[in-house]
Amino acid sequence: MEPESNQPAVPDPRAASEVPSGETPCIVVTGLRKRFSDGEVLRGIDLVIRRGELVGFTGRSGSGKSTLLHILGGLDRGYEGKVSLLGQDLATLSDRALANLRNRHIGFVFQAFHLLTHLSCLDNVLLPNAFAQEPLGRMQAEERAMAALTRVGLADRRHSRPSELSGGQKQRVAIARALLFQPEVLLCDEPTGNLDDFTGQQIIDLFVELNRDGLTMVLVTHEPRVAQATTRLLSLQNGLMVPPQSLEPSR
Amino acid sequence: MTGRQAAALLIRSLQRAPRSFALSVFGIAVGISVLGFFLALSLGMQKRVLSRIFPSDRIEVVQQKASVDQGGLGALGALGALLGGPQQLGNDVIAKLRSHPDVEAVYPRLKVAFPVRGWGGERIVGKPIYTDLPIDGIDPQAVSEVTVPWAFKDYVSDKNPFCTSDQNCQSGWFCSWDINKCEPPVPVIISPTLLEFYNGSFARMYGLPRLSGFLVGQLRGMTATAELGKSFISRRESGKPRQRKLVLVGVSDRAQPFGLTVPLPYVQRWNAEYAGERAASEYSSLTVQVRPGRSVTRIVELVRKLGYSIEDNGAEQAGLAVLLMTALFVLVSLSTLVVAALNIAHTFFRAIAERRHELGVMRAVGASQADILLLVLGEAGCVGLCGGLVGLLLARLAGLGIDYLSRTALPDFPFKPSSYFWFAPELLLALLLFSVTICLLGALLPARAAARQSPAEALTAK
Repeated sequence: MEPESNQPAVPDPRAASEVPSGETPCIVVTGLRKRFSDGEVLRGIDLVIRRGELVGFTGRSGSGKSTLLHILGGLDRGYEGKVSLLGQDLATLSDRALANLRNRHIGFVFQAFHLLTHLSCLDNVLLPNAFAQEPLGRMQAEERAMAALTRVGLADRRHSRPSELSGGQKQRVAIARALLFQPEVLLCDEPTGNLDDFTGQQIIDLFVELNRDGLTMVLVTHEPRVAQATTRLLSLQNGLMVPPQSLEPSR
Repeated sequence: MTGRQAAALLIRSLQRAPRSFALSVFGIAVGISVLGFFLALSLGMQKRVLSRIFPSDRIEVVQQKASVDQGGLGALGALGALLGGPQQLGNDVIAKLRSHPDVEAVYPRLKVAFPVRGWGGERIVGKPIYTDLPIDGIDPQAVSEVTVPWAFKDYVSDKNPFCTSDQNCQSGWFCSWDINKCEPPVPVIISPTLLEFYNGSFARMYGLPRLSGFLVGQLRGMTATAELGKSFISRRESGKPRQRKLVLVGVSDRAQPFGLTVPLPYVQRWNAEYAGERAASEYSSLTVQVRPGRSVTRIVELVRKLGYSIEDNGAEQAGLAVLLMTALFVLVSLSTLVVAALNIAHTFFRAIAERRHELGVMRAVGASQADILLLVLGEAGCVGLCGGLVGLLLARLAGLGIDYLSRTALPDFPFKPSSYFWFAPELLLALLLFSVTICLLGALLPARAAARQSPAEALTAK
């Protein structure tokens, strides 16, 4: 357990990037605080992420990186402060509206892949369509899913079960699932944490490619090579945003 | 989430853990099969046995019995009966009962009030049977069954031709020598109860042929002779004995259970001649036919208010006995189902704990709380539906087995049914709904817990 600091939250100038006038930022966080039963994890985060950025969060275990990512993605609603995603205040959305936002506009990639083991790769990629308010027809959805699988290089494994895939392949399927509805934001929590160096690099290259195509990405990582791929690197320490120390973005 | 999407997810989810699904289905199936078995048995006993012995859509109104062991109006009626004699069953009572909205029809019944003996039955046992005859007269309107070869009606008329012997009469008619008139034989109906008694006891005891279906048809037109005013048992004689031919025209549950039933006018004339005018004008009882779907309760109240009684034929007690037995077994079945529902709840709580990550992923890709609730309850509903179907199938098979054993291993007895069970469509539907409801109730708390858990917590749970 990291020691808690009682100092007031100090906004980090790196946390706010310049947003051209007239453009709605992709994510705006103001005074974000999050408390669990064992203490405060986020203690006043202010953050603006522009569209098309590839932002990385670093920090030690327990610094609040994943919690912040969950809040940004509308997976965790018990917080203080304001979080806007694509111009919508997440706290004011109903459960259904928030689910729809996650379904259509946000993609998630997790360290543990979180594929449904009883479904094929294709069906895993199609999963978001099952919960869409206006689902695509079977043919159209499959076309999209196949396009996503092709993009991650796994079109030929569409009928395979996750248990038949390597770690890298599983993560690619998870990325394809996140891309089904061509979201505006991709939130990734330690996406290469369970992968070897070579496979991890392949995933990073894929992220860079996706970001070049205009996808806004937020990565939580503590791996230098992932950090180097970001366009902006932010660091969390004791629930506060601080200047990054050892990890520097390369781009 | 559309219904189709939900169904596809449900099927895949159930396919993933077939063993757990099968166990849950089995638990429900056992409870539903036991419940269905006993409910169908109870309905079958009511419909196929009790209703034949004690028809529930009619009541028999009789004179007030001299008993003070009744409350309210019944006691007053009994007091009146003690002071001034019982109120007579006449046409005024029939009119009052017929005016009740729940009453479809009222048919008077009159017992022969003097000795009658008879002989016949050669076509059944090979030689004539001699016996005293209990005879009832009933309003011919009460008999709706087809009667052949003669209609069930009064054939006596002043226009009947004069005769001195049977040869003077047309075929099938007989000469009533006391009045020198040709008359058809008196049409007689017997009750199914009498047939059941004959088949279940008499035929078996004496090795006689069973009477049913075709054979009963063959017996129609069988004649016998009745001698009015004479008895084989009693020395009491009343009036001038004379003979009448009787002809069996059919089987009807309107006939008295043990005896012969003829059209009412015959008995009225005979009673007037042999037992006096009063015996001809006062009915022995009134059969009140209740309209379909109406309750007899209000009619019973009216009957008691008018100062009459309902003939106690044991139906109430028999029905109560069946109801109590059914209630006992239903309780046992329900306790089985409660255990099954608790098992469902436990299974789903465990399954949800095991599937936290999966549910978290679903929330992450767009499932709302309602979607998760629907999915979990949908799985429970599938367990209920499959458990219900399997349970009903088991109950039906058990019923068929019991019926088969009854047919092959049990001797005949009165009112032995071809099946003891009645799997009414409404019962099957109700049990299926019940099965699904039990499972939904069992899974409700786990489903709510699954829907309410934070997606972030679900995804990060160890």
